Amino acid sequence: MPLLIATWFGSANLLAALLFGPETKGKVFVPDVIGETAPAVRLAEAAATG
Amino acid sequence: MSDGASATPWWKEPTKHQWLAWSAGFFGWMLDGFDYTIFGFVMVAIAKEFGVSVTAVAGVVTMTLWLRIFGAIGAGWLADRIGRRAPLALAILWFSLCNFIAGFSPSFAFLFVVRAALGIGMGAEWPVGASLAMESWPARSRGLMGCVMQGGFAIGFAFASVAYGLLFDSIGWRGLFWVAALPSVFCLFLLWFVKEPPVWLENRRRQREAGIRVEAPLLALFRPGLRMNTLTACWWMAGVATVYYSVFGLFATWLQTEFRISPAAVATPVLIANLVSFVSAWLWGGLADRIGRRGACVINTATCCIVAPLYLLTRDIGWIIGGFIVQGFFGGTIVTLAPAYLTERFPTSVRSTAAGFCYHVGIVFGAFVPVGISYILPSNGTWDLPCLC
Repeated sequence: MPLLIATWFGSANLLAALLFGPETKGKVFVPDVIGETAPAVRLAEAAATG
Repeated sequence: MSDGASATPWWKEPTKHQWLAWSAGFFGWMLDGFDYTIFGFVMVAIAKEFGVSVTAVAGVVTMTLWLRIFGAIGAGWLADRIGRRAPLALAILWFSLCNFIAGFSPSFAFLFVVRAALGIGMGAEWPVGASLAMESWPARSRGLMGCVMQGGFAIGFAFASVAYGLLFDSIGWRGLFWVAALPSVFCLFLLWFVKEPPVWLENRRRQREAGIRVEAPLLALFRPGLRMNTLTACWWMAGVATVYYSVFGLFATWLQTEFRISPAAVATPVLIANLVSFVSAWLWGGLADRIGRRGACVINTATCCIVAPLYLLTRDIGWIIGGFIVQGFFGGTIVTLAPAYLTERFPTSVRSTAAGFCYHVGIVFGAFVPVGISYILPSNGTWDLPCLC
């Protein structure tokens, strides 16, 4: 019985999570530029602006 | 997708370098499975040699599980920063060396430390191998080959059981650890010819041009825009891991405690179910490319829920083992969607970190659910923390 409950519990959770998750079929990976300005660039910018 | 691409059979679409990159991910994960699962076969022999309890030896497995998450996050960060190839080679070298050194263990404490450290390399392998393979592979059949790649763990497990059956009497557990380390030479040789995924190279070029990079990718996963995606990916993976452990991880323990069946007798259906799950990975992966990741996952999970009571609520041992093998086709395969689905959900700058983090958070949380439920509900047996995949 514990294994059955765990199987159903896990299934219910993954199905619920799927509802909120995206469909990714056919997703083409593309470059993205997210993040922060690198420290070296920050220093250079700070020096340039005095 | 262009018409030209549709007319070409999917297996002719990838280039030689794309096949090499996928092979590196597949064989790396298969070797991971081999090195990791070989320990389960020799736990009793180790306990006898060092005069410790099997429970103490099983503690090594638990520690390995916990350390995986650190390896995954560290290697994911490194792979997002310097590329996929070097961290993958380092991960394979790490867990192979740990296994090799473990074969020389003079004491149980030494073995405990070295085998637990193997978990860092094991955790490191998955996100980097998955990112390398999935980023390199064409989108059209990525779901299929992601499933097959993840199924490599089952093949590694099957090889471990064969190696144990053929070699244990002649070379013992130390010899098996040494043998398990040998295939890493092939993986490292393969990696020599693998190129970095073009999308990662282009991403690095643009980041350098713009003077931008992700300083702390783990924190970036919880910033607005990615936070919900990260949380639902962890949630999905925890559900997947719970089902996987309920189907595979605790089944052997259940048969041994409730039906007093010997470990050797349990090993055969577990091996068959693993092989069945590898075969079915082709079907579910193909379906994921045809109807989508979510559709394939829903059908697979729904069927798993229907099959589960058919063998878990009966006392007929033949029916139980038959049902378990059938379940290998359904519930045992849901996890194979992870490489494609997790890598496709995140941007290139944080892909490796994100996939490794979500996968291992899910694995760690999912491992506790069946154990927790077994303590809440009445049960005749005691349950160990599982960690198979």
